Amino acid sequence: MKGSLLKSWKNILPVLAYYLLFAVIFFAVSFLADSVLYFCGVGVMIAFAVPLSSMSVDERDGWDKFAVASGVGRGELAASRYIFALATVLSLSVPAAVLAALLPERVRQFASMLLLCGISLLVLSVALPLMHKYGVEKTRILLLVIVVVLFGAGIAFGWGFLLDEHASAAFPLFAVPAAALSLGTVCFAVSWLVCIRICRRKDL
Amino acid sequence: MLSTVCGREASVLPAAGAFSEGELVRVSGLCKRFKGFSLEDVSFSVPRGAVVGFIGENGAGKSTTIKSLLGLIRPDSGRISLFGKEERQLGKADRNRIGAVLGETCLPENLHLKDIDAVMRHIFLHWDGEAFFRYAEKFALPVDKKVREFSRGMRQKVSLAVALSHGAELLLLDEPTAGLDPVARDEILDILYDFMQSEEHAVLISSHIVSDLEKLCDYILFIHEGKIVFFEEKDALGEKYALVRCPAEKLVGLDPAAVVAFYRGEYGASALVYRDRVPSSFETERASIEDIMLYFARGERV
Repeated sequence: MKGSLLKSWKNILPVLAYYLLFAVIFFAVSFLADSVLYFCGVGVMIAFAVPLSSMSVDERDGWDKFAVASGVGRGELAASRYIFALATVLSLSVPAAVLAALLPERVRQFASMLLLCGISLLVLSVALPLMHKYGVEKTRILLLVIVVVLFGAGIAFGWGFLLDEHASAAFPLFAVPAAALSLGTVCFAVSWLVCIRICRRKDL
Repeated sequence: MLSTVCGREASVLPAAGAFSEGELVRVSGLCKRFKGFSLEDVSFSVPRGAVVGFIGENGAGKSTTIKSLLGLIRPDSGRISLFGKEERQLGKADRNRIGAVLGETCLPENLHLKDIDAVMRHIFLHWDGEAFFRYAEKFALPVDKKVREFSRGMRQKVSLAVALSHGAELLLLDEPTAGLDPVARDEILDILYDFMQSEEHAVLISSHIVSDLEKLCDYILFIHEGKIVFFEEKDALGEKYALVRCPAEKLVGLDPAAVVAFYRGEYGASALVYRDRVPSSFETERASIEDIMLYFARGERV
């Protein structure tokens, strides 16, 4: 597991600077606009793009073949991808939390941040099994469509709820963000299990 | 110890099932169907202390067989045993006893050799970084360049260096000399000779460059259109088969049972024959492994 994670980390290093640059720019935009939405929105995209890039490189290199031939279990291989994706989401959550703490309407900012964390997990839950089953290159366009649809639907529904004073009054402020995060977590866990099954059945 | 296997020619099939102490690999009745290609009833073994050369055309099934041994492909039927265990029951420690070179590099190409050393340290239980860098030096591989900047031959060498640096007893090599110049191929053959100094080791190596295998191998396994044609000791092949070149009308005088396959040309005919079935009136020549492969694969049948 450590070997696979280290390999993913080293593989992603050359493109990490670009993602960091985006993150820094949108951190500043969010700060100036008094809303975490901008940073977290880009965060969802980065949380999807980093595992996608990593898997794309693995696919090009034929890493899965080497790893399985070298005794890395297929389940372990899938697990390393999920842990890497989760680490990306968590890494982005830290500056998002800092940003939320710095901005006015702190509670609403944290609620928005949780909502977008949930959306990130949902996006990854759908994308990772597809990437494992069909390969990154074959599904790249489909994955982008899925990300945009899930992201758009999540934002439209969740953000609408957070801004709607009637809805906010009827439900606790954290109702939708907590639901999105819970749904994302459950879907992520189920997706992980599905992915292990896909990996075990796949000819490499 | 080994049986002659032959989908077309041989009469003796390998003993199925039982794993002998002297074998590191035993494959019995391996079948795998793909769209447009199938591996059918592949059986052979790799004895301890031996190098088995795996020959056949592109798409004959060599890579599919090697991938099945490595657990990359799930066979439809048949049995694969490595180190006396069913392939599916192999744990990490068992798999670490295998050094593999797959057709492609299959290593993270964005990484430098130092990074590869760091990653492999966590992949293999008995990774020997010193040995890895020794091989890198021997192969003149630059430590400060990314693998993707290497030539194809250099990438093959990195794969081989990895395969040899974790205490493997069995090497499964799929075209390890592909893309290498003769000097580099010779270096690799030397490394494999060194590896085989231990009687406990064994190698299964596939290659299109039959002359390399002729130098190195103890046994030849020939696959054609997904079926094993023969599995024989290399020296026995020379004793068993011979070439006859003569006018086409003279060839007709040969017992059909003596002829494996033949070619007809403008200036006469040539045939791969069973040496012991050819009358002394026919002059025979030594058949190289390449000749044998070509006649079996492309020659006309009687």
